[in-house]
Amino acid sequence: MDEVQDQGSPLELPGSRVWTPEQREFVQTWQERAYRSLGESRGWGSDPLTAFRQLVPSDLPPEHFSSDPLQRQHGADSLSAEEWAEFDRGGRAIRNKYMSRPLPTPYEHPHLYRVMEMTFDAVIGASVFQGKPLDPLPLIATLPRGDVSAQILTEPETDVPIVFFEQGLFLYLQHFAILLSWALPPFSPEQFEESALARLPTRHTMPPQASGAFAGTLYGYVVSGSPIGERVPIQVFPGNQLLAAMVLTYMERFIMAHELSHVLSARSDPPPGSESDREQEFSADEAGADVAMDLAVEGLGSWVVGYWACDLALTAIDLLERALGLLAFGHFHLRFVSPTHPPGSERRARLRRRTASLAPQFSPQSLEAANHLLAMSDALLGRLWEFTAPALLFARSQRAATPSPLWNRRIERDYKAVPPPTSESKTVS
Amino acid sequence: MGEDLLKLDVSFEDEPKEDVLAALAGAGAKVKELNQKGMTGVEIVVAAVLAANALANLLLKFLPLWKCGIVVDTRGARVLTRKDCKLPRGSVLIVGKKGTEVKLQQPSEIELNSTIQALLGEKK
Repeated sequence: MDEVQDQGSPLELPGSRVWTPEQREFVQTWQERAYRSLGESRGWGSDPLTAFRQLVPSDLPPEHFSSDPLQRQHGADSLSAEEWAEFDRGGRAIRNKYMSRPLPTPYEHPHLYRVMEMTFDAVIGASVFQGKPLDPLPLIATLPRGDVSAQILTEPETDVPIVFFEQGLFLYLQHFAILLSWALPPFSPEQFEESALARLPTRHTMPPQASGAFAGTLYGYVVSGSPIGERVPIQVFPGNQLLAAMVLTYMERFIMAHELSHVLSARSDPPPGSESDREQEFSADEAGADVAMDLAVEGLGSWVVGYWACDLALTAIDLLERALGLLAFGHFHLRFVSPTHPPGSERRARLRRRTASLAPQFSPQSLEAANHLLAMSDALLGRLWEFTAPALLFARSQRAATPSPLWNRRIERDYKAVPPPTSESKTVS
Repeated sequence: MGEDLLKLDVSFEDEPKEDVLAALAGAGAKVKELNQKGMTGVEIVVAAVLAANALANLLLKFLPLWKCGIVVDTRGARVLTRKDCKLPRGSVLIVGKKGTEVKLQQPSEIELNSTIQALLGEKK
């Protein structure tokens, strides 16, 4: 990563994306600003390259795509020789397709960019996007500003939309998937079948680490911002790696599809802050869910886990919003007043109502499985929030914990304290 | 320096967009809105191309309009002008190409222009 790309000529990446010098300069400028700011906040000075080198690992080694580590970990006899060979063929194909491509800017995160490329390719290959040409094809990039979000910026000279995924979003979804692997019962490959999903227990005794890790993770994001470049403090629960990987993959696809649906509808979108702005978010969530469900049918044989992952992604957003509000204001009497975005809880409820309205299209077995998964995650995540909320309030009152300045703008824009409920009304926490 | 063009990004949070666009038009800038439509929020950034010697005039238009101070960061290929509520209203912090910082309070156009030209001219 030491070499800085020559900015003078178009960079053609195998596949279909061509970056013009203007686009590379534009993205690099945003990335430089973010790394400079990060470097200054961490005491490394204002050279963005210094911060980048401190925080970003080098590209994945070829061994990463080999089955050798898995064979050592799980035993060579856990799969047949033919299955391991198939695994290695898949790994080589991914390596050849994605790892041989040069990165578009010297500040691009090699791992996360590859994940974004794979996610992007999967999403635009979904049948939902067929017949809806994305022209011009958006470009993708990562930003390390610490926010948990993704956004689109249009490069001003070429009018090509750039989908920026914040590294904080990747991290937050990854941490959320890891926490789910602790909170939810272990899923075997067979349990991803619809008939088995509906039989999973709704009541599950979580290991004691789950609640502590959950509260600690939310607290960390709110008080310190996204832990860019830091080690993940908790690993996936042994035996639930498949669940964490599936949920993470489909959450990322949901968000990518949400963003691309904004690109598709950009010409008809009214300006930000207008009446129908919030409606556009609901529509983008629905489009994102359609893609995730479509890809889950293709990959897993059923839409259910794809849909569940969308619900979980919105739950993850809801939990962060709740934690931010609670630590900022110290109470539950808040209204979410963002002019453009409904709260995560409302988006999730809307998506559920929409899925329920489509029920006649689905088999009773798949609906039963979906409802079962939602009930299970609602129960377990609800319990975790019951544990987390008092811990956040305690930290605020006893340790004067406050949200990181990173969130100031969001808190100022999106939250309004309201009078406590009277005996005749009730505030939902 | 007078003929040089600057690529400029203007980030202004909750300040009225119309005022920003009018000020940019008044400074002779070629303007494009870059809505940051996001997963959890929208921020509006305006991209502009304007003559380097028009930047001081533009900032003088922003100063009385914005409720906080302004940072002008000239490092990188595009100059970033953003509202910064850590700075008092009416103040401008200019960061030169080499990172030199100059803070001005209620500057005159001559003072602002000479500072900008000096800091834009810094060799990286």
